[in-house]
Amino acid sequence: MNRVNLIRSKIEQIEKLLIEVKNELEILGKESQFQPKKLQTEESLPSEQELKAEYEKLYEEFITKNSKDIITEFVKGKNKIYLKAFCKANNLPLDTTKVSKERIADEVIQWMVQRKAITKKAT
Amino acid sequence: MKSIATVNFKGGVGKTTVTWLLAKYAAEKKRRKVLVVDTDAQMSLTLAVQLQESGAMYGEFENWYENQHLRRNKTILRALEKYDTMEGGHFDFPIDSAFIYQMTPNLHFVPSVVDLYWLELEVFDREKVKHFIRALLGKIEHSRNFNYDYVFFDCPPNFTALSYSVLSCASLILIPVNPDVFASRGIGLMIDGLRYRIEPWPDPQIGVFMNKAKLHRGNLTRETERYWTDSKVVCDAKRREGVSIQAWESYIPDRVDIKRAIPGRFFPSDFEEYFAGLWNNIERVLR
Repeated sequence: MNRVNLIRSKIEQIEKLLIEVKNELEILGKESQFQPKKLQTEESLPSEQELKAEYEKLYEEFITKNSKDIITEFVKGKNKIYLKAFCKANNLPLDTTKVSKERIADEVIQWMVQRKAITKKAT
Repeated sequence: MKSIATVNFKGGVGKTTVTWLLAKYAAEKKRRKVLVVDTDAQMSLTLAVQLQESGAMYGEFENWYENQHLRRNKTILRALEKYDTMEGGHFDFPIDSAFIYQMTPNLHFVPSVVDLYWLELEVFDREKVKHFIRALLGKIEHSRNFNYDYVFFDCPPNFTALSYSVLSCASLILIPVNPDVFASRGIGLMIDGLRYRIEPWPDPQIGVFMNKAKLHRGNLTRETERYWTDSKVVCDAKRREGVSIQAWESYIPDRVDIKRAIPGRFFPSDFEEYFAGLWNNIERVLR
């Protein structure tokens, strides 16, 4: 009888191990599902130079059309990963992971308004 | 002898601190013969020298200032008055040790006087005054006892008759900017204003650099970088207009101990790398 109990206990241990292994496999499976997507997004990001050029283009449009909506629309149309890279490349002091798109748009507008003032001709 | 004017019409950007420490760096570390002229009626630089001398074993400056400089009326304001009223082309203002204070063999100083505050109320012939500093530098250059490689001018944050004269003949205009919109705006304001006011525009070399730069782990913060980028945009635009302007990447960090270093007897070694970078740029453009 003791021997039977011992075998049963071993079977229980094996079952527990199998459940743990199954769970780990599931987690690994989910991670591998996310990874290619993340890699794909990072790979598709423009280079730092391109992001700087984008800022310049945006500023020109802001000046030419004299409209803040251009910036709001621009920010709305981009995802957070892009905006994070955009802010970093253009040295905008903003933690994009913690703030809303509206807040990011406000910040970009503020910097562009300041630049307009800084570069304005005096005579 | 090259003349360097530190100017920004925005107050508080650190003109006096930079001028003083730069002059000290050149005299002490580079063994250049340097004269510093305080043209600001606020007399900050003059006070710095006074504090420095009082804290040292000599403490001679106050005595010299009262008993020679003021009593014998050998101030920069008196020189300007003499120049303004001269007749027959003879600028009667001998350059001597009552006009120039000799702090060390390499570092000499012409202090300011409080009466410069009222300079604008006096009536000066603007065109004549324009050549005053040039004439004064000519006299210094030809004096037997004084021989300088560089003359630094600490300019006031406004456009006085004296700063007009300094800026009309400076070999290099140094513009310190701070990481804020007001100081950055100062670049365009000043250059446009000076070109409009000073005729003919002498086309001096202009060096713009970041002063009071904010650092994080040894690098410029993003905010400082952003302001610097926008300042460079102004410099690029002015260069395209034909102004001999450069934006230098060398910067002076914002640290509380820099103010403490002003009245110190020696150049603060902690700041050597920053001033070395700035000085290299200066000598390169003035070569």
